[in-house]
Amino acid sequence: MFDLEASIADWRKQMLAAGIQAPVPLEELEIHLREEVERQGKLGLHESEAFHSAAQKIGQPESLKIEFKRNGSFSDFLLKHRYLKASFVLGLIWLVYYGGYFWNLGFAHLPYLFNLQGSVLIFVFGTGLIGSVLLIFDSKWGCKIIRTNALIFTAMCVMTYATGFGGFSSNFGALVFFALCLVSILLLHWPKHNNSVILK
Amino acid sequence: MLRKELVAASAEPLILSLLAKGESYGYAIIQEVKERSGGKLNWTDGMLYPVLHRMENRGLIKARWGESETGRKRKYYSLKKDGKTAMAKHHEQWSLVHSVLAGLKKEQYV
Repeated sequence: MFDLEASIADWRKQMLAAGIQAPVPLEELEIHLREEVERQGKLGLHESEAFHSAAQKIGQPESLKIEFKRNGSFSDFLLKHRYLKASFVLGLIWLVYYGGYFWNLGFAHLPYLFNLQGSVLIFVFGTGLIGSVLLIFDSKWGCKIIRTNALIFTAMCVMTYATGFGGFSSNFGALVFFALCLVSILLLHWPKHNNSVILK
Repeated sequence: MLRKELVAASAEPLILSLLAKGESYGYAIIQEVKERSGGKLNWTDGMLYPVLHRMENRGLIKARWGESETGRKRKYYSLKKDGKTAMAKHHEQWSLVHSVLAGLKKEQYV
């Protein structure tokens, strides 16, 4: 006499032995197996035939294990963790940079900046501060603002190195900053919003 | 029967497009693909789940445990925002392949 429950228990053992040990995939596969046995039973198949046909359709434990194993790859780890996205990482770095600028400046000094040069600086750094926060939250506008500012800074850096005039000093910190601008330009595409370059 | 490579490549766009109609679960997804393709698109049933889990890990779809009408436990999948974007991209790319192929076929009969 065929015992469906005993056969399913054996099938589970085979799956476990093949290495499908995570509870969720195994449970889902078992639910699928039961649904298929039930469907085939309704079509008039004997329980034993229905079970063997359903188990065969689910596939060999070894090949299933290979497929499930692919899910634990490093690229999947990166995909799963949003904080490794270029937008998030760059947003945080730029937030520290722009936040640091206003922190060092001190808000008490802001009125002294109300001339042409000061207004431009406040505009660029102010939008940068807002842009970096937006970028952390994966916003299209954050991407646009940060990339535009990075382009402006890159142009200023190039001017400094080429003519000695542009506002940037030629030291290690400036080089790191220049590299940050280039990375931002490369990773935050314009005008299309594509911030998952790191993940590809 | 379709070639193995084509079946594998079409799995993601088909799952995304099916889920765009509303949430569903593994068994129903397989049945619907089978029905719509007249039985020509035959997945190995178990292979669907690693694909679903991969798509879940990539943030294209999300899952929740629920119950069927008969009280059986089921894992329901639904589309996320990134999944909709990925689906649009798939449609664009598959349409492009189709139009190139159709154009070339047409030229053969001219």
